[in-house]
Amino acid sequence: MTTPVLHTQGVTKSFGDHVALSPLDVEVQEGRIVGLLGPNGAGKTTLLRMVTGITKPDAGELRMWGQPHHRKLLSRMGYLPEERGLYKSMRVAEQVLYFATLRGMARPDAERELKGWFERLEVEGWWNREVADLSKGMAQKIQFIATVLHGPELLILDEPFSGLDPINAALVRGEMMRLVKDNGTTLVLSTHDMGSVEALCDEVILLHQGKKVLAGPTDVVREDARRGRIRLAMRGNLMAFVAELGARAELLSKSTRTESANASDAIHDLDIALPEDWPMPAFLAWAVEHVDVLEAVPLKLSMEEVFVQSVESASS
Amino acid sequence: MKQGAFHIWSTVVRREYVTRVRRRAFLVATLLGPVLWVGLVAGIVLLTQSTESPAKVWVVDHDGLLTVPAEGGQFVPTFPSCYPERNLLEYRFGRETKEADVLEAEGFTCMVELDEGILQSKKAQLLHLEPPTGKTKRWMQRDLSQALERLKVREQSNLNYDDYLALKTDVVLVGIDMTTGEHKGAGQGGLGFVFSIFMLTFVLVYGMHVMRGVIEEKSNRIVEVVLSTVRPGQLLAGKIAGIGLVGLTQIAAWAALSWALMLGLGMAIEQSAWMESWTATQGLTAGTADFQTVLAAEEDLAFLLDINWGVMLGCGALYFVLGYAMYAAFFATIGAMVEQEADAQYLMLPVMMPLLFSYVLASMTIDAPESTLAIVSSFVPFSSPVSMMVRLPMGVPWWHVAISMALLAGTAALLVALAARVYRVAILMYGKRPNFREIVRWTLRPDSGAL
Repeated sequence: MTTPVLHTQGVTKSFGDHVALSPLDVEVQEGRIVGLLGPNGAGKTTLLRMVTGITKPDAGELRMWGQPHHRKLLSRMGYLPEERGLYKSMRVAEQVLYFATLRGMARPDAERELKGWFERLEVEGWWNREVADLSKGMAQKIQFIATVLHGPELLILDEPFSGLDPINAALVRGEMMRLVKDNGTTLVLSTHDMGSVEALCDEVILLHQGKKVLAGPTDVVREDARRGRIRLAMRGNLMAFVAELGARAELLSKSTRTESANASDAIHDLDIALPEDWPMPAFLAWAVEHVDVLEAVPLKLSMEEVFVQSVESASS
Repeated sequence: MKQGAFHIWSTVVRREYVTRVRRRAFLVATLLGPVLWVGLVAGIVLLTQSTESPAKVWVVDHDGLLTVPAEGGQFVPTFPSCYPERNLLEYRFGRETKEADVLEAEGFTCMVELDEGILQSKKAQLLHLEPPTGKTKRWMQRDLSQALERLKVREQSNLNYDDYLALKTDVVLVGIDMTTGEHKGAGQGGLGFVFSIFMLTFVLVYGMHVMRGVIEEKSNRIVEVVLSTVRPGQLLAGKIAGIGLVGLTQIAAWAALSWALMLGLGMAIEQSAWMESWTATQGLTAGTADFQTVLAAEEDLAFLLDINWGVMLGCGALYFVLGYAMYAAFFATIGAMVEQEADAQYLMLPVMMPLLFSYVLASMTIDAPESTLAIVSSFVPFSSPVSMMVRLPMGVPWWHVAISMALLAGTAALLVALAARVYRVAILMYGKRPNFREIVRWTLRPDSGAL
């Protein structure tokens, strides 16, 4: 395995009496898109602020690209915080160039890069305009450009699509994917938009009350979450089957779709949660003895359901 | 890639400086400031002159001391050169008094009666319909005195008038400080007060620029992006330095423009007709006098030539830089604590108190620049930038300035360092304003801070 871009071990942070992060171990591999999830106050911003050098951990180790974190590494990152703004009294290009210069880019290089980004994000006419004239969505695109202009190897985006209409959100998403694909950029995405997580993220890290409650590749996390859940399409005596089933497993939901006028031909869909001691093959073997099993699909939970479940079980 | 701390700091300084200097308001204020200033002075002079109504004087020479008969029963002065032609003053001479209504009908504003008694008493009566202004009255006194002097020289000595003038001696006392060798006068005190008002204004205006800048970054949430590259201390120091440079630019521009305007005014005066008549009335050879001679002859303005402008401006700029930095530390702290400017209002009052207090002190010490109060307040860092400006034109021992500046510099450095400790925590706090206890805690036991 290659050296992780980001690796924390036992990292903690408190503000006065409030513990923002309990000892935390997380890892982000190069070139991956990682979703950083968690309810409000979970410690996501605290973690991101440590990674971006705004604060330091109270204890534990934070390594970036295999080295102990230090300021020189900051210019290899781009950070778009959730709460973001622009200097109203500056011109659009001047402002983006200011951030690029702060991150060590030479002015001519920055200008050349900026022209390309202005074209790609369709904001060409705004080079010399006042920031005060920008619409919210336009300002979001400018902020995104300011974050990526210096070609960061690690891109940390906190709610990057908020305030963007679907067309512009797709434009920005496309550029993010291009950076990952073409440049091998590592992307940490902090968001409450689970649709984006499902669509984009290779991995997720879920924090709750300063602790990591779930982490791993998105597929695996969803596999784990769906363990013991199955959607069954069947035909036969529903009442008798449910009564038998209820003694051994939990029926999450049931619905009926009718294919013919004859009630006995009706097709029923059941969502079932199986206990750990009743594996899926054994259950299916049992089910075919009682009813006509048309289809059995391991139940696929959405990221939202994974999120809610994980947070609820961590809270309890 | 350039990434050093200095590169980052100087980039911040440049942004703070350039965005402000480019603003139209700054350009207008910088260019128009001196013009308005000089225009105001010129306006006051013009207004005062236009309100001065001309005086026409009926001089009643009962005993024929200063007049001789002329054709048509008229009387003319024996020494016409004593009554130079002036726009605002005109004489007519006679031997008989006139009634008020006659005077008024003939356009006279007043009547001076003199007889032989004046040679002993040196007093004459001025009866007026309209009282002459102070300046006109001084002119009349000077003209009549000169005429009587010429009469006395002719009648009572065997000198000619020029020899007499050569002998005549008027003593003027010029105050000079024995330790510094500098001239002192009321004019210097007034100038010092003007400088102290400028200092107060500049420190307040630019201190508040810092506060507004901090509030802008906090309220529009750009600060988190900036802090992912710049340390809070660097950002604060860059902001204070950049805005301070804007202040220095304005001071330099005002000084240069005022200097240019004064030179222009001087050249305009030197080439005007006024200069010729002025040279003549001063008894100087035409072409030998310049603007400086005019200033030197004008008792209210002569002190301007004695001021060491290099020292005044140099010390003024240094006191501004240090005083501004010290107060900017307070203003930045306030800015970091609030999310909008309106919330800052009541926090600003305690910061402005020492500045306003030093202004009150300055107005009290114009007449007593060596009083204990004046000296002490010019050492205390919170008041020294304003108080020392009053003392400087009067002449101050160099070590007073050195100690005062050292104290101010030390205090400014300490306060900026402490402000940075509060700033780096408060700037990222939203929704809750830190209380006094928290601020003291952050100052004494700093947070682990940025990477």
